Amino acid sequence: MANSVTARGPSRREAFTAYALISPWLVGFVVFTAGPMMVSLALSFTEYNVVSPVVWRGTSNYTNAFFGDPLFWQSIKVTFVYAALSLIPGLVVGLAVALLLNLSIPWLSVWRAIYYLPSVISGVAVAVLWQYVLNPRFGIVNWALSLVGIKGPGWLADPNWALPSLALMSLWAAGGAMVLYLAALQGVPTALYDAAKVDGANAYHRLRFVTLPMISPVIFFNLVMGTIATFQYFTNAYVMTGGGPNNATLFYNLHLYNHAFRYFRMGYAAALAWVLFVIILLLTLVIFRSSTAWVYYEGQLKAGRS
Amino acid sequence: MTSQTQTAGRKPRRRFMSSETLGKVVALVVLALGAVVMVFPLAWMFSSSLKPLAQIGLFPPVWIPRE
Repeated sequence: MANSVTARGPSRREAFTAYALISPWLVGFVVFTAGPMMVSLALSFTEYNVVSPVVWRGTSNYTNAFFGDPLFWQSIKVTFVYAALSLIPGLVVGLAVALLLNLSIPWLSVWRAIYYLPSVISGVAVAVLWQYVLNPRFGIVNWALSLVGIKGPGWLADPNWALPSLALMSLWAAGGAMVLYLAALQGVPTALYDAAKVDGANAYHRLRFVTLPMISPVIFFNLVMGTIATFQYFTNAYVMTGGGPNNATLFYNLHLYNHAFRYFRMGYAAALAWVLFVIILLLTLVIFRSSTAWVYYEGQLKAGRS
Repeated sequence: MTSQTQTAGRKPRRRFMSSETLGKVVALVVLALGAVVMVFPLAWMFSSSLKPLAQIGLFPPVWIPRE
């Protein structure tokens, strides 16, 4: 032990052993993650239809996406509109349900199970189920609306309603975020609430100045993960609408998929993938930068404050 | 008798529920409404899994499968 670690750090022999021990991960990362990413970056500057040889095209794939492809801008619009419709409502609904399920009410575990139930069904099954549920003719959503005298819209068949339909559907699976909020809520020390009550805080004050700051790291986590997942939205659009009607649900990833596996334009699809990567990276950076203003870590010492 | 005359002048202020209980009742009602929304598609899925194909597309929906 003593002679293997010198003042200059671990010996070369020890470093070799360390690399050998992590090699299963290292090889997997280089071969299956870093390698394909580099290949996709290289492909994005080429034209490649899988069967003919690769042709170098420089940056034309990128300029073509921004200046020569109207569906690119449509898919950007669809993805951002969907993010606006689903992200914040999803956060609010998940948090509201978690707050209600944190009260001491009868049959608490039954309520929690019911709200988490939709989150355990896998992606394509949910998509097919909602295709039936939202059917304009015999779906149970329009049936329930007809009971109270409302004639339901065409949902997925209506260009104006297709995107809001998918956003409403995403609220059905708010249980996943709810569980995380619930765990965070149960970690808030009750002493803080007692102290706030002594100081005359009402229920709103306790929520605004005790609960929300204490669970802000979890809100931040859900916001970042939700943003990334929303911009990678694919399964439901692919299964339920295929981008229609009239490109109203042409999500960015669906547009990418069409170019890669329907038109076999691998180079252009790779360029689209890298544009999406940059978009997600920038949005995540913005959220991280904003977090210093609203996320509170109890264990963190802030510079300049005593 | 004397105790009755003493209390007769002052109306006893008895609330039906405390505000905390009222809050819990409201929470339960909201949760129950949300739970209906959560469970309905699942219930439909289960009932449809027992139906012949022809009964899935009926309106109004057939909740209990017929022979």
